[in-house]
Amino acid sequence: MNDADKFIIRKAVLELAKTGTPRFTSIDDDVRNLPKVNSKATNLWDYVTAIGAQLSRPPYDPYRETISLNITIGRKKSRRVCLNIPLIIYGNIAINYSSLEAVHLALNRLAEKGNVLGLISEIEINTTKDNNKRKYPLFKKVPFYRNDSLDEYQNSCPEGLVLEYKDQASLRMLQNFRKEFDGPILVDVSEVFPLYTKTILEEGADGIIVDTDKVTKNERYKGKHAIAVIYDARNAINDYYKGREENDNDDNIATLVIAGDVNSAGKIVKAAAVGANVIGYSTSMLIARSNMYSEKPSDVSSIADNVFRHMLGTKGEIKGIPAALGYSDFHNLSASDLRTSSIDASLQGNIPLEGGDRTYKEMVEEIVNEYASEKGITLNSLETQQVLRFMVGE
Amino acid sequence: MPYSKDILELKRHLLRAAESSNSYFDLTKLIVDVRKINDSEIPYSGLGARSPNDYFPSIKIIGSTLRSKENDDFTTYKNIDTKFTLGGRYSTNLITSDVPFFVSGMSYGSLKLPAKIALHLALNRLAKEGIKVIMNTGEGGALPWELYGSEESWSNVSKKRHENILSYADRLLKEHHLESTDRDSLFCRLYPLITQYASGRFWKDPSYLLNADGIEIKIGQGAKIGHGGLLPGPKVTDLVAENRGIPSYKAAHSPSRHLDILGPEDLVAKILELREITDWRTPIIVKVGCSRVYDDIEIILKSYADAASIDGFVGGTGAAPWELRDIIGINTIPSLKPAREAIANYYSTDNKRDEFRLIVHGSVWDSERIAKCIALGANGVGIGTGFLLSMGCTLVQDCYTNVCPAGLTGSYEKLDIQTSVNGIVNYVKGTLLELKNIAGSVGRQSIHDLRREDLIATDELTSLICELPLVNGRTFKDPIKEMVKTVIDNRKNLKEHQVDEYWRMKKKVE
Repeated sequence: MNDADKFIIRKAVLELAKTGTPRFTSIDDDVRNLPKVNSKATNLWDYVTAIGAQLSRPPYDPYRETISLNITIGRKKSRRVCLNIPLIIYGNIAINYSSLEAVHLALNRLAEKGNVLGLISEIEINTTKDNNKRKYPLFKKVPFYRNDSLDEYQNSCPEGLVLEYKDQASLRMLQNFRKEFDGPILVDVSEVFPLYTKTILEEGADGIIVDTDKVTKNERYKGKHAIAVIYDARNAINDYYKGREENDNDDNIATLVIAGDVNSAGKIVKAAAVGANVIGYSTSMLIARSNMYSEKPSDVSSIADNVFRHMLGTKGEIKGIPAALGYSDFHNLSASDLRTSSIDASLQGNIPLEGGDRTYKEMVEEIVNEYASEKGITLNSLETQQVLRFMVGE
Repeated sequence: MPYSKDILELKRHLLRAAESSNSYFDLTKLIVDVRKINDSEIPYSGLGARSPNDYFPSIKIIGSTLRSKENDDFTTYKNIDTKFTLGGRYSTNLITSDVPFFVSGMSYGSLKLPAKIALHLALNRLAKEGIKVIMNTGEGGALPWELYGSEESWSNVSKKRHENILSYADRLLKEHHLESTDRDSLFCRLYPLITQYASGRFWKDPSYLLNADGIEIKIGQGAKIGHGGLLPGPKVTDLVAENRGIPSYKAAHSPSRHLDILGPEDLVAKILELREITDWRTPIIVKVGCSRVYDDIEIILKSYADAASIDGFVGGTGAAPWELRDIIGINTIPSLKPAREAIANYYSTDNKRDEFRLIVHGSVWDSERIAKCIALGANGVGIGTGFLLSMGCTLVQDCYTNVCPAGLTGSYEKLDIQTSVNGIVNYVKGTLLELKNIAGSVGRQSIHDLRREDLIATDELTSLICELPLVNGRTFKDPIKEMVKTVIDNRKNLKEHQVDEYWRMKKKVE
């Protein structure tokens, strides 16, 4: 409940507790009459919840049982990167070198404890000192239009590359790098999404990165939420694999990395259920950056400690949620584990509404078919689509 | 929680970093990140989740009123039946309450002793005034006066055990500076007690089951579905630990599932075991958090239980992992339809469906919400936060700490027991009068006669989910049916190339 609701509820119950006599209005009347000042601030993610495991499916116990968060990136066995936490630190926040160094140190400490997660970075980190050697997978970000030789980017021996897709030149770059680079190549398609996904995967990219913040600023996604972007991105990858099952040489399906409005454990789980495989996580960068605002800036090691501790807490949260949903593997989550209390969220992410297992669109479709058969009418598919399009706004 | 200076500084810096970066950042969850930075632990929170749409305000009871007439004596509808009975499906005993709502499970440990005593004394006072209200112990065991509040309960207790019980009670009262409390009035229970049989098994002897009027098997709760109970270390004092039979000052994490209930057949075996122990006398309830409600209720119906209890995800708790609390489960109102459907389908061949009781919890604080739940198919309603509010809860949601501004879940020195007792008594009486007024004003003789027909929805989603008519008398299905009719008309009247244009225009008009 938000603060306004809390105020009303407390006031109403206290009035009852004080007088013991009936009130004039109920809590719901007051809540209903509240000006909707909070509606703008509410994120559509808040209307989406997951359904937990109870009698019909026993939950796992994250304190006593193993919950797997492992994921491999790379379509071919020969060029895979394994992560123990499905997160890649994603730098869409401008940070200085010392902040990046702190993230690097934190990732090393995490890797030492068996918590390997990746980093996407354009800046080179000096790892010449023995105690500073990188122990986590680095995805080197290749700046757009710097179509230099691959050697330039291999100085830091990255395990993977990240290319930014802007136009046909980016595609040529991908083709060139694919021939020479053996590790996974992820392509950031945020600026052109949802176009070119198929082409990019055909040219050998191991996955795509979609930043929901950037995509929702595009004209095509105006007014839509991250949920719609993730849903479309997953469908784009699935479409690529449609009809390819027999001829498919992939050992592993292409990875969908989602960044942007996915910065808490709850959102990470929901994004994974809608279709993300890995999350481009920016909160670690933000924590490192926050040191810049301190009156007494800490040293790199202390900042690294902050990032390290935060990530351990986040890992605990991410492990606990699939366990409570009855899964021992984070990657078994699917949209059928979600429910929503918003028609908008149901339409954007094809998420079932609360109280049942059908989406809003399916419910409308069912009413259409029910009524048609009741009246002895047969609607052709075009006519059904017309009604649906009108009702669900597609 | 009064956060340390370090935490607040971190928060301030993180806020500035977030504001100055162009990326989206959820500022409402900033403190969660700061707490993780501080101690690398999973942040906890108390009470219920924040649901942006709990449906209650979108439902109206047609023609109802809380206060029958201005300046009357509030007894216009005094003969309205509000009684609630539980049991009788398999149990030989019935639990009877004079109100259709009761105190949800709030354990000793999660609540401080003075708050538990206030609840005990208030329910006793109400019982003396003819209003019996059921109390649930919560999963942390029961207090001595709750279990041994009747002469009968002492009958099988050895002298040694008798002394131990009284000694423990003395130590409890002493720790909380309540030595002056009258033992005779304390060791007297006049209200029905339901004890909770949870995965942690925090009880030490069979009297916990034998002296209770009802047993609730807790599979899960709305605030932390699939997680298991949790009492943070600082709240596990020596006496709380003694009551639960666990080590002091160590967090009590109950398993996320009963280790001997992994499926429907295990539940049947467990209930039969409890039936044997209690000689089939005691009503048994099975409580689940709202998730796959239809499937869960179907299992409970086939398991020799007398009642099912469902807890919506706004349902409160003493402590739950913050993120988990906020994202798992569904709201109370949408759970009612699948629950009722499961019951109706199970009893499709006979008319005994009334013997099975459905109890709901979660985001129910006042009479109107209770009435809405009943009209949508619930038989009874569990209230936790409402009772805390009547004792002065300020909803700061720090119940997981040992610091509570109202002195309910921490800082026990501050709670005035007598004021709290008065608050609870007034809250129950006022709510009862309001319930009578609601039922009476819509022309019902009993609160349980409230029906779906007494409700309307004020938005499309609520109408769809609850199958209620909208305010304008139309249902959600009406515009869809009209669309289908239009499609058929278009088939006759419009040529193919005109159809798209027609829909575009129609949409524009709408």
